[in-house]
This record gives sequence, C-alpha cells and structure tokens, in this order.
Amino acid sequence: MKLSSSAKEQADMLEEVLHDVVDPRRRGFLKKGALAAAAVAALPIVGSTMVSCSSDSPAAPTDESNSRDIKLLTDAYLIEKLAVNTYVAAAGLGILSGAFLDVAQSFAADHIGHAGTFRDVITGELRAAPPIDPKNDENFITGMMVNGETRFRIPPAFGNLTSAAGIVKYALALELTAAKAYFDNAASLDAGMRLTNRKAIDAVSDIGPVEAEHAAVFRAALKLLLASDTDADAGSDVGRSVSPTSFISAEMPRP
Amino acid sequence: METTSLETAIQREASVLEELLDGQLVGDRRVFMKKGSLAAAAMAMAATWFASVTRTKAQTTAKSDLEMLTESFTLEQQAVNTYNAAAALRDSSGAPLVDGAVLSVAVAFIGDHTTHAARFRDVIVQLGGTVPANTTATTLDAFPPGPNSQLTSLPGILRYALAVEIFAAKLWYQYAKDAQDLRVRRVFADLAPNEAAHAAILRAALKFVVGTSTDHDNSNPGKAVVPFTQLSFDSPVF
Repeated sequence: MKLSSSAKEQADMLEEVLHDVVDPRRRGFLKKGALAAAAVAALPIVGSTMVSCSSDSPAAPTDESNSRDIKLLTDAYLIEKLAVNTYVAAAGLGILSGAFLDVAQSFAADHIGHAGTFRDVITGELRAAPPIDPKNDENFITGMMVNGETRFRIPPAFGNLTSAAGIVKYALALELTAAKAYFDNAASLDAGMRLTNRKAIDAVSDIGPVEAEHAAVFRAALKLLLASDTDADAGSDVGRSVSPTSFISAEMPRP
Repeated sequence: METTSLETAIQREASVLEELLDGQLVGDRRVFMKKGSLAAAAMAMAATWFASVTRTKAQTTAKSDLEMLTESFTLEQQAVNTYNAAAALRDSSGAPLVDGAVLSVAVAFIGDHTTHAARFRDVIVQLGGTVPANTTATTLDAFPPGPNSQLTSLPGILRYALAVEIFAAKLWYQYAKDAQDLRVRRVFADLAPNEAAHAAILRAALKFVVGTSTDHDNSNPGKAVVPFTQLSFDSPVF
C-alpha cells in the first residue's frame, strides 16, 4: 500500500510527537506500518505545517479561522453521516445478527446524534449553511463525490466484509479514524487542522471519546466473543489486545 | 427514543446537582438516591472538583493549567494503586476475585494509567511546574464504593473501575476545555478517549462476559455498553 505524502507527513508527525511518550514496543508497532494509509489519506487534511509546541493560547476568531472551523466541522458532519450509511450498508449484508446487529444499530443512532450536534454548531455558532448530506448509497466503502472528486473513501483491507469479524474490524477502523480526527480537530499541533471556536472544540471533544468507546466495544467483541484477533492483537495478552494504546493519538486504524 | 434517553440522563445529572446545591433530599429524589443509580458521593466529589476548576479559571492561566495537571497526575497514580489493590482481592475461600481475561485487562489498564501519569508529569515539567510526590493513596480514598460497586464480587469490582474511568474521562474532557495552553489541552484531549475506551471495555465485560447489568443498563446491548452519544451525558455510578 502506497502512503500518500499527507499520510506520511502525519505518520512522521505522529511518531515525532510520540517519541518521548510511547514505549519502544509501541513505537515499533507504529513502524510496522500499521498506520492505515488509506484511512488517513481519506481524511480531510488541511495543510501540514507543524507548529511549535510552545504555549499556544486560543486565538480570537477571525474570518479565516471561522471559515476553517466551518470546513473542519463540515467534514466531521460528513464523517458522521457516512458512518451512518456505512452501518446501514453493513447491516444490509445480512451477516450481522443478534447482539451484533443491535450494537451496530445503536452505534448508527449515536452517529445520527453526533451529526446533529455538529450541524447545530455549524448553523448556530458558526453561522453557516447546513452541509449537504451524502446520498443514501454513499458511504465509506464507496466514498462521496464532492465537487467532482471522490472523498472519504476507505477501502476495506484488513477487515473484509464477508464475515462478522471482518465487518467488525472494518467498523473498528472507521471509529478510530473518527476519534483521531476529532482529537486533531480539538488539539492538533497543526493549526490548519485545529478548530478555533470554543463550541466547536467542545463538540468534537465530547464526541471523540464516544467513538473511542465504539472502537473499544468492537475490540472486546472480537477478542472475547468472536475469538478473533483484533486490529492490534497481542496474542494471549487479552488486555493489550483490547486496549493496545494509552492515547487516542497513538491509535492506528486498520481498515 | 434516543432523545428521551439523553434527556433522562441530563435530567438525572441536573437533579443530582440540584440536590447538592439545595442540600436537601425530598420525596422521589430520596428514593432515587437510595436506588443508588447515581453515586452521590462521586457526584459530590465531582462537584467539588468542577467548582475548583471554575475558581481557578479566574486565576493566572499557567497556574490554572498546572493545578489541573498536578491533580490529574495524582489521580492517575491513585487509579494505578486501585487497580493493583483490586487485582489482589480474594473471596472468603481465598480464591482471587479477578483472574483470567479480566485480570489481563486490569493489568493493561494499569499500564495505561501509569503511562498517563508519566505524560502528565512530562507536561508539568515542560511548564516549569513541580511534580507532586508519588502517592500511595487509592481512588478509594476519594470515591468510596457505592451500592453498585462493592468490592466483594467481580461485577462490583468492574463497576467500581468503570465508575472511576468515567469520572476520569469526564474530568479530562472538562480540563481539555478549560486548558489555556495547547500542550495542556492536547494531553487531556488525548487521554479522555482512552479512559472512555476503558469504560466501554468494562461495560462490555459486564454485559457480554460476566452476563450482568451495566451501570446504565438497557435491553438494547448497544445502549448497555455505550449508553450515551456524548461523554458529557455520561455519569459515574458507584
């Protein structure tokens, strides 16, 4: 799999940031290329200039920062809407049943709520028009057409869509991708990826942990219910298989 | 249905906070408190903490950030101590209450909290602050187990750990909002999702492995393991 330059930059940045806070075993994990290039490349990456890690108090909003906030939060809104469509598509495969289907439907409902929260901030606090929804048949598998360009397409690679475990792995990667995107929106070292508006920051900070919860449930389901490996499996170490990292920034989605 | 669930959660928190403000318990609220579906002790502690945060916001920004960091450093250490203590608990026959996969998970979480404390320590040093002395206290000192989290059974232990994780996740979320320095906001925003993930794993263990109710149980398994769409709606149940 070829990394896009943006994904490489983000991986380099990530590794640099983590250098002093992640133990060698986990750094090795990063270097194994577990970073999902497709997932990261598919994310809206605006700019790549790494800012200094010195004190950076919130700046007063400007037209530029407001426009950036609208763009970032619109992307977050689309991530949520596409997640809903992806869950619907996955449920339509007829492979998930029982508790797995219940969980998928519940998580889809969460994403509907998240989209609503983001939309409210966009139209309220940021005084922008509501984003245009993706079509019902547009999801992360197909991608979404935006201005003649396909965006948000995350092809399944590690997770296939022909088994419950494969679907769960793919969904797990999507959840991690969203959680990481929202973390970046709240606190990225790259000002171009970071929100300025307080309510917008609050929204992504409030929702990001729930995406991490979704991912954690999927890992637990894979390891404890389906007796499958997880995306960051540690063999007989069940604990590390379901909680492989100590920070959301260290997570590496593997779609 | 989703809206109703959220409204209920918000109403619960609002009710408890109102209780705390009024200093009175009346009628159905007393019944509610007796049910123990929300940990009064935890919320009281939370209210104290959040009130402290509000006060410090009016002070100098660096001090405010450092106060949040030093407090959080100690809380992470307390969490480590608590997990270690819980892992050593035994029943009346001397058999360990926590073993197998659950013990493996506890050990992984101990590692996470140890790393979190180190991360807080690093940022404290970066800001020129003084790292607090290592604590031997546990979170039990701050949050006594409630009716749903007695440490005499595996479900009780899991629920106690779950409540501590939710408390930490919410506090880090709050501190991420309050932080003035990007480095401080970043560390809190980076750790909150991990605490929330711990909570989700504990809920999944309760529901799917132990086969018992979670802290915010629901007939829908999805809602039982991830009961709220936003972290701020969640609440620790001791």
